[in-house]
Amino acid sequence: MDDSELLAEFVEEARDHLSNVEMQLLEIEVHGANINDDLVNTVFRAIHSVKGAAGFLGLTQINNVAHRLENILGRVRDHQLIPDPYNVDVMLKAADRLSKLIEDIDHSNETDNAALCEKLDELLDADARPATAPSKPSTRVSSPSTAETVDSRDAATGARDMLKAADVGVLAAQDSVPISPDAPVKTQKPVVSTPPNATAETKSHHTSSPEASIRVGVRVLDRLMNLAGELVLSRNQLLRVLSQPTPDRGNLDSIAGGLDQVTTELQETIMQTRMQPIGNVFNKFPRVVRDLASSLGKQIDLQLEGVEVETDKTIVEAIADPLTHLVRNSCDHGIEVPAVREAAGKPAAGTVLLRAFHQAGKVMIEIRDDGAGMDADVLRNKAVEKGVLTAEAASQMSDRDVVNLIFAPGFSTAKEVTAVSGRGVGMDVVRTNIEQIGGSVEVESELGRGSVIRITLPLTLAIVPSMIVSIEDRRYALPQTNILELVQTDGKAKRIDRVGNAEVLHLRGSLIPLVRLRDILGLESAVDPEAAGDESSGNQLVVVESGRLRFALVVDRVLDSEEIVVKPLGRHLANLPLLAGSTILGDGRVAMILDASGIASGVQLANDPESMRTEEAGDPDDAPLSDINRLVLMSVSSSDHFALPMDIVSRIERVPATNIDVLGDQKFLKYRGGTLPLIAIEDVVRVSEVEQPEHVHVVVYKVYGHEAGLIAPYLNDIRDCQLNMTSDRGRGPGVAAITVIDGKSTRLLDLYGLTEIARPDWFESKADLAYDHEPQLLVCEDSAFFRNFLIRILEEEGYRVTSCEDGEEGWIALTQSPGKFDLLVTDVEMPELDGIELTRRIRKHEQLRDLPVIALTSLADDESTKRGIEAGVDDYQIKMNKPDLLASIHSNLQKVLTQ
Amino acid sequence: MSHDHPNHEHNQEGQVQLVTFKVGDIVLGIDIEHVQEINRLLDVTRVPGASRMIHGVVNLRGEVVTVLDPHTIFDVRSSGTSDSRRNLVLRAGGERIGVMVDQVADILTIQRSELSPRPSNVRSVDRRFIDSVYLSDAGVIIILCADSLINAIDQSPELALAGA
Repeated sequence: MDDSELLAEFVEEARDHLSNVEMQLLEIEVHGANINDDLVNTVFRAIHSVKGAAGFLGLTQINNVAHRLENILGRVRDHQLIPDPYNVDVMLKAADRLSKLIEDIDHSNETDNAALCEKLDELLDADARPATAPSKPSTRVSSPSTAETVDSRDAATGARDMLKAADVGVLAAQDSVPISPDAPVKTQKPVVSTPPNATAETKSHHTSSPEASIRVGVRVLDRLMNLAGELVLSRNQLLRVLSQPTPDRGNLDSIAGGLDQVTTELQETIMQTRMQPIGNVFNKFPRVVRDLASSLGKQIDLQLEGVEVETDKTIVEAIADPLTHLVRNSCDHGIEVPAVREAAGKPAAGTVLLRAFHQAGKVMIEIRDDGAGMDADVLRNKAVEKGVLTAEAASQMSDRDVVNLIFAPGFSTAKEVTAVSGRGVGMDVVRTNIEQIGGSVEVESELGRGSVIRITLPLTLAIVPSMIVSIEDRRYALPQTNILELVQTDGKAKRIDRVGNAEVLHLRGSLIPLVRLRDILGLESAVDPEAAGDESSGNQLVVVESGRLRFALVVDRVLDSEEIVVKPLGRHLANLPLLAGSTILGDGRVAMILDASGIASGVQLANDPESMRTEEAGDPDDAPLSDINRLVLMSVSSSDHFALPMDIVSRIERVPATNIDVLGDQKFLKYRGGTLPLIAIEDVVRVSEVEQPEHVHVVVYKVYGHEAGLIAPYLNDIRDCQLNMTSDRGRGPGVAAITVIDGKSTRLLDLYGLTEIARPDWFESKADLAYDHEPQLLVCEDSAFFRNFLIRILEEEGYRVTSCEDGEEGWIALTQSPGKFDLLVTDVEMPELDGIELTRRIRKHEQLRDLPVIALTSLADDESTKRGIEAGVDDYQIKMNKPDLLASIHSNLQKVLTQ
Repeated sequence: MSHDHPNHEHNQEGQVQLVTFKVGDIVLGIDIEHVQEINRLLDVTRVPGASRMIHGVVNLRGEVVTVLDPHTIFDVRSSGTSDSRRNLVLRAGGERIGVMVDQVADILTIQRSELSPRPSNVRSVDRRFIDSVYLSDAGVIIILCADSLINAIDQSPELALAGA
């Protein structure tokens, strides 16, 4: 054995010894004067071994430090030195130093440890006690099975750095650590010694740490040996059968079956060797929390649960950093200082619980603190300040969603963060890192009581059950965790609604946005996607979920379900948003693995609670009063449904279809002695088919002084429905929004827009706006739907718009800047302050007196109109009557502004 | 084959072995130190959204390796036939990356002193990729610098995302 081999072995063993020392020293500190002899002895022996070996190998610095530490431990063991925060601190520092020296073993002798040794000597002399001890942090490490698990579960690694590099090596074990009988992962007797590759690495020129290794239980190894044996048998069988002139197919099948089984078991067993207890990451936290508590002047009690929960090595490594940040965050921002806690009736010491457990095939990690919790309102304001949300969206967001905003990019105040909370790593990076390994994170908080952060992690990274899908001959893998279900649209694509640019899938009462994989990938369509019924293209839908987003992915074919091995893509390809990696399929070709959240963000399915949660237009009693409208429900065919607000309808007639005359491209109805111009929905809005029943309904309405009729082949119902669902994606010419009524997707018509398109000649061309500045309008409307509608049409028209949710807000806006607004458009029926009252106030106000006011209403009754005129309203308009409203605004502005 | 001998034997004085190849009509060479292998793995899987300089990826004995398209990098047209095309797998800075070249030519063993410093007027190839130049009987051979080639691939992916 040459030097480098010896050194390598020493390093392994020393790491082993030192891996538990930190935890043990912390325990010793907690016990204080109540010295646990066995515990101290354990640490003593560990340091003793390190010292001895170091001396033997001529590692003088290591020897020096270890020697002194050993002496100190000896005195503790003899009860001559009582452990307290100060001296344990020094001991911890010594242990730290030893670890550091061991990591850089080649240069260890060149280091200068004089200062540390001096401190250690001071302790030994015991007279030299420092005048001030640092504030006593009380960190208790309590976990039900810590002692056992820490001892019996040594992976060769305690510190995270050592978890890098992926080799499984088996060590010659020299147990100076007590072995508990039920621990499966340990080696009793010396097994196969380190294979040569380990040493080849250590022969490197620089101070590269020797390859990391993992401990593997003998039982697992035996199993692997067995499986290898079976694999050999299978292979022999196969070769034998194939060497026959005509191989018997039946035989081949059974061999294939056996091979399949052995391979699966082999794979599972090897994966097991990579499983590591999460305790490996958890058990560095007591020290972290202790030091943190001390520097922050807080008292923090860290509890660990579930340290034995196992997950794949790569995940354990990957979770270390984010977890550190989160724990530090809890200590820094969560737990309050003792004075504050006591004032709030809480115990002076805060508790942070770090808990790991299995649930539904995943590993869950919880970080729970009983600290100050998060203030949803403060966060709301912050979000608006930082431009993450509009004020409106923020006010509508639930507390729970607001609190989860801390993970939003752009939200993080990490730049201001103290050095304590981490290296300027924001919470958004934490979430990204967790999501990158296939996990998710969310937070729940109660102001004053504390917060819980929940992390969900997959059991293993490397092998992922997936569905293989294809576009033409290109194959892609989609991880099964993201897949909700597969939907086949029978050739007629009936469940897909196409509305303008957007496509949605109708699935059990909800609308799911459709995403064509072909488009996402930028592949040219070989086939016209509109050709429904073409089997080979785009008839398979995979309903995908990523976080809270749901969408339906259109592919050509869904092939197989396979467990694939994830192969990372090289550096240049690692950051592509659509891909989560690559894999090698059975035929040796490479296939890309699709990243569901990457696809979702690519199509701008914003994680905006408002947008895609289209709900059934349900029980009107649930809806806020402002959003209930009486709607006329009609259909053009069995698959195209539309709705209109009733209040713009003058009357509805039922006429025989034969009464409709067609002149050129316009239709007319013989009506009451004259003719009524008719508009057919399908002339403006795309529909899948048009039916021609014998009798049709005509919805008569007035616009711009013209009377017109909308042809409704089928009139379904007239009733009150909720209008608070807006999915903007349905918007298009003539269509204001799309919703679901009675389980059918229904388009809400913008009747005036529709008319504008069908009969453009009716609409006056807009006079040139002869204003000296862009008019600023104030809109007061409590229904979100109508408010958005108004803002849109007004801005399209070129006005600048400020909006308010009710009269009170509007009043404040007006009085704060009296000269700012040129005209007010207000709803009449509003909560706090209604439109009429608002108008009254305006007319009484010195500076606002002459402000033009247009009142909007859905109730075109004379009573309210009279009241309004009395109050000083300049004009009354019906909400959805766009052209008339715009004309009115125009003329009212003219009066005021061009004087 | 070749070993990683950073500061010994080949560099300062003495010999260097160059693998020469053609991309379009440009003749290029690269220090054999950086060449892991030359193979015929031409069946490249495209990577959606990747830089145009990247052909795609191949399965190199179980590892998914990125393959560059030097024609896009150097802005030349492809030459040669599909028979002559080869995948030149480079190794630099611990990374492996393939380069799809039109034709592999000779392996030249020359003296380091025969290499000329890169001239300022070589238009056909971006300066950053050029390590030096060798004047052979047949013409100028541009010696590439593997490291800068690998690093120069723009890492910001083209986002070819349709808003559905």
